[in-house]
Amino acid sequence: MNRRELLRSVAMLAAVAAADKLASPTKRRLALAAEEKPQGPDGIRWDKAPCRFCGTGCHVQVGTRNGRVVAIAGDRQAEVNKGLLCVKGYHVGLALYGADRLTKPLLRKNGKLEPISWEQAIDIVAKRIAQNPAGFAFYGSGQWTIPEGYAALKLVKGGIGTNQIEANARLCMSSAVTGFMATYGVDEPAGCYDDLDRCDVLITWGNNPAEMHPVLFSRFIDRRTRGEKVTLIDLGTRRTRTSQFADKALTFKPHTDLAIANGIAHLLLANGTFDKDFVEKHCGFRGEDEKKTLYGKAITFDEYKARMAEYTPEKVEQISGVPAKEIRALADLFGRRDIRITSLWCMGFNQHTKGTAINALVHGIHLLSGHFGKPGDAPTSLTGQPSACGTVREVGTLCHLLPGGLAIANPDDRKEAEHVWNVPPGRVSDKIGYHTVEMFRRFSTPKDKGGDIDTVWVQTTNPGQSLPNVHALFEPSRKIEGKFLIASDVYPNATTRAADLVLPSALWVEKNGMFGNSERRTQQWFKMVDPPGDARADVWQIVAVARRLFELGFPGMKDKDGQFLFRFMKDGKEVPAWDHRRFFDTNVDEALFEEYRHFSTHHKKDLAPYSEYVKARGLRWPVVKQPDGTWRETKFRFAEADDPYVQKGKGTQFYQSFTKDDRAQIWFHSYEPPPESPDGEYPFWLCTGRVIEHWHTGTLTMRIPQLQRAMPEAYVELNRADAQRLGVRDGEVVTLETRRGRIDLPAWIDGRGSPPEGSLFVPFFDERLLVNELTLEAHDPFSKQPDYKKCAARVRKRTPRPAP
Amino acid sequence: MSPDDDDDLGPRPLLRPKATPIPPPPPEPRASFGAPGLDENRDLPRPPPSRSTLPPPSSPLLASRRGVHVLGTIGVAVAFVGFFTGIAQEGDETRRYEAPEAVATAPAPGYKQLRAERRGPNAKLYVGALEQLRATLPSPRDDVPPQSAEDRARVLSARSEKRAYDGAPPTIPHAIEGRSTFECLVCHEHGAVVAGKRAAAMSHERHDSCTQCHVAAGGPPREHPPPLTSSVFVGAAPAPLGSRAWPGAPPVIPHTTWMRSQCTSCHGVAGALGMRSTHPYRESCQQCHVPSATLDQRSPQMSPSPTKPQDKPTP
Repeated sequence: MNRRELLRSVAMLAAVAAADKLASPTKRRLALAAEEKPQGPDGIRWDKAPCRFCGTGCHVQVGTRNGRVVAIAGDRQAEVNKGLLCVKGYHVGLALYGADRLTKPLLRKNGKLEPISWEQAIDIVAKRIAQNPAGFAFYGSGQWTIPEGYAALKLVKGGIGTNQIEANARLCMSSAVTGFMATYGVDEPAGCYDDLDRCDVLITWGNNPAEMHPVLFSRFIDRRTRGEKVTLIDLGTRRTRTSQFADKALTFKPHTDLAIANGIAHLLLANGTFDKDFVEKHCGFRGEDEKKTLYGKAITFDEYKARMAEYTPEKVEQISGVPAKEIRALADLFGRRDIRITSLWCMGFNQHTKGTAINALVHGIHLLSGHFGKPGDAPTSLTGQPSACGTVREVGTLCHLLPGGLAIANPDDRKEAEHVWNVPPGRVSDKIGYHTVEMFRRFSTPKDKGGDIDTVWVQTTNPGQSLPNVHALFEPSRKIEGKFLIASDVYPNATTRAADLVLPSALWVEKNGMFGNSERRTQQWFKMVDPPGDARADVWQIVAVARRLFELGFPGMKDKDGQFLFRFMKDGKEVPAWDHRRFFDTNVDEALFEEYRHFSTHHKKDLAPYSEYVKARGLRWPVVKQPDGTWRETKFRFAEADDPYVQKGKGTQFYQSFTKDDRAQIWFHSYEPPPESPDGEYPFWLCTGRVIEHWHTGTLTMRIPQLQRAMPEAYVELNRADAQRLGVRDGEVVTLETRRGRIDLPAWIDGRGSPPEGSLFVPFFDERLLVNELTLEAHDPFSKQPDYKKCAARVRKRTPRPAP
Repeated sequence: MSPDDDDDLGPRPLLRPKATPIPPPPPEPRASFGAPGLDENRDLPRPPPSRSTLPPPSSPLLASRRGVHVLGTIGVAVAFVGFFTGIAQEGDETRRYEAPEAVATAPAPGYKQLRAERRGPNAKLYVGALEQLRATLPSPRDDVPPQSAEDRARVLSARSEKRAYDGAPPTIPHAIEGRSTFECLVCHEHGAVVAGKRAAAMSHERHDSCTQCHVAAGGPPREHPPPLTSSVFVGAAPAPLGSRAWPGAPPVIPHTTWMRSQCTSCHGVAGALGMRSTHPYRESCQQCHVPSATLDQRSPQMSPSPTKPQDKPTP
């Protein structure tokens, strides 16, 4: 222990002793939890935490010694990953130790970020909100923990009285949400990862799990290694590492996945191989209405069949480039009752201007063919962030939602929220806020031209890099008078560098937390190490700002009884958690989660008490209490064999159906060409995405030496024939241009993936090579999610950049 | 470099054991797609035999010293020019890979043709190469050389260079193509010694998606910009020696056996000195060496949740 650490521990001890002579129960539990943790011969203590990266939700064992993370191991008790991890997971502990952690609040003075105190920083945020509450927007992500997201939502919707909260998940899975809503009337997959252990055929739709969800991929592909007969069919717009393992890899033209799904549905109908019994009992049919609402209008089976009639295999081949015989083979698979089929998809479907449609269509072919509701028979949508489901979708940190699947549009739901929060009637506004793209467009527009958002507080995400078309949506705001950007983050990145106020945050096991993964699994972990310097938990920042607003007399921060909105009680006394010295006197996470839990039963997304999650490696909702007092998770929703909410004798029951008849909806959507296609001027398709080594914008993974060295910079994947035609060598730096911008980056020919002729691929992790200066902000009409996966581009040998 | 260091497996030519060293071929250009004359070992144009243009020493011109100098200078000059022209042509040959116009017009030889034409010192090198690699492994019956504390320190240090912390999956110290699992299994399924470097056998049961956990330490094969930041992470050091109940008792296993179940990967006949078992012929390691329940995540505190699904759900 060095002098600084010693002084710090002495100071901490003194502060704790002064604050409270008795250790609080939470503290005791935290201490107890640490004590109980087995210690190896090397003095390393091990404790569980979900991984900080993708939406798979692996549990890791975190090894700590002397207040620092020193090792990581796969958690063998975790059902998700069964002791395995991927290269990011094995190195997740290193994410805490980049040399340039943000450790002090910074305020921009005369163009330069200068250190200020936390009191000043919190005061500035509170005053920006108080000055123009309607112009304040909170922007978070699926990396918010559940309690953080809940606190942020409550601050905005229950305190400030607007609905202007959004999360970057809008950019990554909102089309999955609208797909689920339009089909089942309720969000999130019915199945779970167990399907991967049981399916005979796995179809990956525009999805590369070998790199993006590696643990789920090996969970499936290792079955083949062990001698099981499984089939992998990869449908994609380029060859990937997943294609290498595939029994069949089919390349289709971008955007034509709708035609393929319709082609399969058409053949199921034409051949009579659809599951008549299942469809008759459990399904309805739906098509778009004139107003283009999410729920569309009912159509008859005959209408559905008639509309599908034009999608013959030959026509689908013509649209998609996939041979008609392959479409027939796919339809034959779906037509079989003796095999189990799981579909996997992620951003390929969701970042799509017809994202809601393609999500609904693939749910549709699973329902139509009856490949649904049995272990191994599942349409499964994956998420890219550790708590995109847990926080954004379940807590509802979006401009139109309330916790637990409640909606702003529903007056009863607003009343329910006001009841739980004990706030006066009318506090929860009925005016839906702006979705992400619109919110940033207004932030980047002067006030007199309709730019009515003037303050954005960003937590746990990096919009300066991840927004589409950042030239139009992000950068202008930095030049307009009166616009104020607040960024809570752990490292300097594109957003903090442009921000007016930077708040240093605690990361992952430097705080308590809860995440929710792609299979409805809610996970919990305890703080294990201290954050560096003055960095503090995001949830504390939210509570402190709320308290400052309360002190400033902001009416919304009081409940009906005049009490502060965020009250944390211990032994009947209020704990002033907004005071950082007292923040750890109680488990703020537990208190927020127990309050949030009240919302969870409305749409049968029941959550167990916090203490159950402490014991488990996550539990899949609905988690229902048993007569003997234990809590039971649900693996397969809507299936009588497993879901306690399905009535006896029903077999399958879609009890959240929006048509109130226990039926899921099979949709018809037509194939329509994309908003921007290659032309003479911009002859290439440009697709963006990720690589296994890096996660999102690389803020964390580019600071992990093993990952950084393995993939040090972005590149453009080029087909060999195109490269020869352009005279481009492998590794040569080329210029990539779209109608929105240009970047210079190295070409990679026959590299990690191989795009077909006329296609390009660029990963988006590299902050030096911002591909989102090039992407399109065109978005899905229902989900408002932009299409990062296709736009028209051109690539040429580099010519010197003209002088600015 | 120590023979225990499995660095640089990729780019090195596969040499037959005990063969006389062959000078490495000129560095291959990376952009080898569709390039003609892929066979680097074919005879490349040599500099013209310029020295033969010199007149024989018995020439009457020898009478004049000046003439000798002039002739000598011309001769040396011609030799130089000739030599460098030869080299330049050689260079051209290489550089032609980079000129796609030329690539487009040159007919690419088929594999059959390449095989038929293969000659030179590395011809048919691949025939039986893998069997020979495996044959280089010592037999379990061979005597194990004495191992010192320095050997151990050296091998632990070499291990640490490839791992963020003890227990982390090692990064791959050579370039990879990443085309299939077999590419890795060729050397790492059973282990091999390649060009004096040890390619360790997998330490865990077989999983097919190797690059899920192992990434090439050097990244894609091209030049890269320097990292923007550095790391202050200090990983767990390798486990200390396993403790013994009394001097001479078999030591307990001081590290987890999870993902390290194949003891021979590090401790077997191909194990680095400092880590190699003194008795590699004994196969049932855990007969005498016990693993730790804590390190293997089998301790009661780490037991799964008491919240277990029951047979009959109740709402």
